[in-house]
Amino acid sequence: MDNLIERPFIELRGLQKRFGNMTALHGLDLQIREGEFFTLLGPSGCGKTTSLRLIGGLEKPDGGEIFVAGQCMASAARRIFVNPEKRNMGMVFQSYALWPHMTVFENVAYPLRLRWVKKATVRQKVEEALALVGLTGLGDRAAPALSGGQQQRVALARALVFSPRMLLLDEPLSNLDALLRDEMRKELKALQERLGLTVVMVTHDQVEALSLSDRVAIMSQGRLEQLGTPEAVYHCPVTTFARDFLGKMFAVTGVVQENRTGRIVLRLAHVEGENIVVERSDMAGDASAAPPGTTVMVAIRPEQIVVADHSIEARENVVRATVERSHFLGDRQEYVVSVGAERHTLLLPATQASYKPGERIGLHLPSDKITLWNTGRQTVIAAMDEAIAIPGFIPPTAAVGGVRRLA
Amino acid sequence: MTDARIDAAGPLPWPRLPALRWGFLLMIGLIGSMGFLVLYPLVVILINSFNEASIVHEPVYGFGAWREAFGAPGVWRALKNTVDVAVVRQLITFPLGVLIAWVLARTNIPFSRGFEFLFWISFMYPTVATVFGWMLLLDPDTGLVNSVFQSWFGTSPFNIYSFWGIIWVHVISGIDTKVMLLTPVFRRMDAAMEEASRMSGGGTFSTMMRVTLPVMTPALIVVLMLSLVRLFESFEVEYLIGAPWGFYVLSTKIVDLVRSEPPMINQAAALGSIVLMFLVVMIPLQRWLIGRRTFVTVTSQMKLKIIEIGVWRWVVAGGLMLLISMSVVVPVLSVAGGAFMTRFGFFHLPQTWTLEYWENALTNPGLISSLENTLIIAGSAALIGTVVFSLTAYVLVRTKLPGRGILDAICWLPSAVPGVLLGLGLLWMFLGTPIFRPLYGSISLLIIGSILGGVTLSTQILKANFIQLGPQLEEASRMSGAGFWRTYWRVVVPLMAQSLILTAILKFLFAARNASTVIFLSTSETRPLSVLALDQIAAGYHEEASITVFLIILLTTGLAIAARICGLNIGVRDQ
Repeated sequence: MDNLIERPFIELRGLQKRFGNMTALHGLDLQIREGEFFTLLGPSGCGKTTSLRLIGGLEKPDGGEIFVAGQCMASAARRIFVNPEKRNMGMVFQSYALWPHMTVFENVAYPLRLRWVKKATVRQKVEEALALVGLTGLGDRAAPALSGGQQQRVALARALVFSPRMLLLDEPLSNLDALLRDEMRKELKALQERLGLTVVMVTHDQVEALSLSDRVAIMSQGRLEQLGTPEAVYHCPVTTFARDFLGKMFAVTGVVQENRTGRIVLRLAHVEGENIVVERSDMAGDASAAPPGTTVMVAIRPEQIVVADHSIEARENVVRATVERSHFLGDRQEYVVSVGAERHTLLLPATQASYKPGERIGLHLPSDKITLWNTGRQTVIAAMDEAIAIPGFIPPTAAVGGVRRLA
Repeated sequence: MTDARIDAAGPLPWPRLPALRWGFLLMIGLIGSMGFLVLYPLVVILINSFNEASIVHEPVYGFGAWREAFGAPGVWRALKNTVDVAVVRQLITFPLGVLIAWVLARTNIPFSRGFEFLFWISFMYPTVATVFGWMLLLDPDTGLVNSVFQSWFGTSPFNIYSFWGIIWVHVISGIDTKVMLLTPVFRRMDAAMEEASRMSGGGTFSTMMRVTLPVMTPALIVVLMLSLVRLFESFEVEYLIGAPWGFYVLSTKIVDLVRSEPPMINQAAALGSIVLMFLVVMIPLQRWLIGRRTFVTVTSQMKLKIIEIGVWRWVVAGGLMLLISMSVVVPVLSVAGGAFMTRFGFFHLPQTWTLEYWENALTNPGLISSLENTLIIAGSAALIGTVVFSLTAYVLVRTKLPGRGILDAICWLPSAVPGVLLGLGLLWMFLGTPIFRPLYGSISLLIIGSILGGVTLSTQILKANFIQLGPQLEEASRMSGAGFWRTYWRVVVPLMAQSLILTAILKFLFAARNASTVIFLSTSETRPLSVLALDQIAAGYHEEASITVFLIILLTTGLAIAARICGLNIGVRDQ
């Protein structure tokens, strides 16, 4: 693992945390690069916030170790624990946690004053930080008198003002309304790129996670489910949890006919259509584990499906379907289609050709976007994309272009 | 009977004007009756402090009463004593209360919920029982603790009849209120504020000084103000262990003047007016402070961070245990000892335990009639008070009638007026007004006094519950065609049943233990247990008093515990 990211900026090794009888983290291993926007994504109670608080030093681990820039921050075995105030990390809390007895200026100046920075420098740095988040001139306001979006910016300025070595964000956008959230999301990304910051963010919102992050770690029940680039985790989930958490899946049942390296041919069961061929140059070895005759689940994200007229020439990877209902959604058209005995929902841009209820159509599943799943046991048997990994495993391809060596 | 909003809810055949007029009449009725009963007695006190004639004669106005009252040597000392006791006891209980509340809410001490329950019991425990329990232990001649010291070391070091004796009982019996008010405040504080300071580079100490305490300050000031406004409230402790050695505070001085021969009611009124002037300044200040937004913020994602205090947690838990036993266990045991022992503290007598006093007491018509009086007074206060205050709270929360601000302020006032003063005012009102005079001596006076005693607490609890209930359940009933009263009885009352029962029990408890409001209003026929206990203790009948106090404990603490076992969580919120 260590040879993949040669000198990770943040490294979690076998991190464990228990709260009473509840285990929040079962031995988490993670490596985060310097300058990376890294997101911990998962439903509430999955251990993502606990992981962030462990990195920040707001919780003590019950097992495992945390390293930042090669320095041990916490180790349960060696009884090392660096207090949060000594870790030099900025953090934005979900509730913003602005101190109501201080003005905006005083809130932002607080970290500097604790560091005995000279008065003139404090003023200059606070003004710079406020300008950075677009709050110039609001320094004299009382913190609770600001709007939600402004409070969020103050919290960000306070976390950045002392040039911390990384920024921790705990659900930073969840308290904002939809429009403001979109705006802040874009600004946050621009800011991170401009400053070259290492950011670790926690969120349960997949749009935030996918749009902001360089890499995403999907967590569930205190364990890492999948780690990779947003594209990789979305299109090529490796666990059923990652598959179902990130969005809808279109799935049909198939029987393996032929299985050679890099090419699997399946016959559709229960539904009408042509054979399905999965062809991927980077097919992982697991694919060979499904011998001919095995029944598997053929899955693909609905938006990867190409819809065509029924008259589409009989070639590979076409599933026949009937349009049941059609709903106009403004920018999109929603179709409920029946494939065999099952119903699926497809969304198409409104500009595409429209189909009427009762019409027969063909659904083309691109062979490099398909994932195959065991119908009984819930493990992946085929189709691995470049940066996908089983928990704790980072494929070599991810490291090649990505390593940023420390100076 | 209703407001425009409810009118608009359905095509009711009523024109708008009569509907408004009904509501108006209700409002006038409530403000009139409550205002009359709360404000008029206070006005009467002020007016009659300038009256030189006796209570049943035509008034003669002048400054005679003021001159006499403040010419008397004890009065200035009583004022000074009041302030001394209040300051010293706040200096001790306030920091201690803050510390205990913080420990209970934010640290990992063992049994913190158990301790909270014990403080709650202590809160429900009548003051007279604490005072009397400690009198039995620390009396310089007969006190049990002193006897033990006498036999071991040959000296009896403690004397409850002293300034520090008074302070001791105040601290022991007053810390529970602070803990109950402050613990939820500490629990509500968003721990992320402290964590943000740690992340910014602040250590434990600088976080405490620069973030935690400043954020808590407004809430702490509110709690401090609540106790400051009640500066003159303190009565039982000084009456029982101050008066015997000539230590008076303002409330006991007023009682002393009224009960002297001949009664000096006008002079008492002059003294009471001092309190009124103090309240004229303090109440607006208090309401302003409480009305300001407090810093302590509740967020939905808030998590409570429990601070590990290591081995200290056992030390702190031990200290709390000791404090709790001082305020509840020890006084209960000593009162029980007084009631069941042949002679209190004499464990070596041939017959240590006896039921003789109980047999005497239960055949004593005086005690039985006092018990009946208490049941009648507390029971009526609970019933009438709950009905009137639920309507008041409903009107305050749900309607848009004009005058709600005035009604709300009237409901606030009694919490600040010392019971002795309210009692004095009612006495004047009933004796001084010819049409009311026949009522004097009847138990209805004591019922009125007891109802007024708990106005603030009752309306606040009920208001909070109405706010929580939300208006839509009632609006649905109105849309279904039910009128105001039918909606009130069929929807509001059933939904509020638990809060109403809770309010009734609270009113019963406070009425049963209250002596200060009714002490002037009771006669030998209408004397309740609370006043009987004071009289018996003051006269030195300790065995009889033990039984009386024991009955009061059963009727208050016992009832509260029984209600809690039945699932009713009786408590106080920061009003």
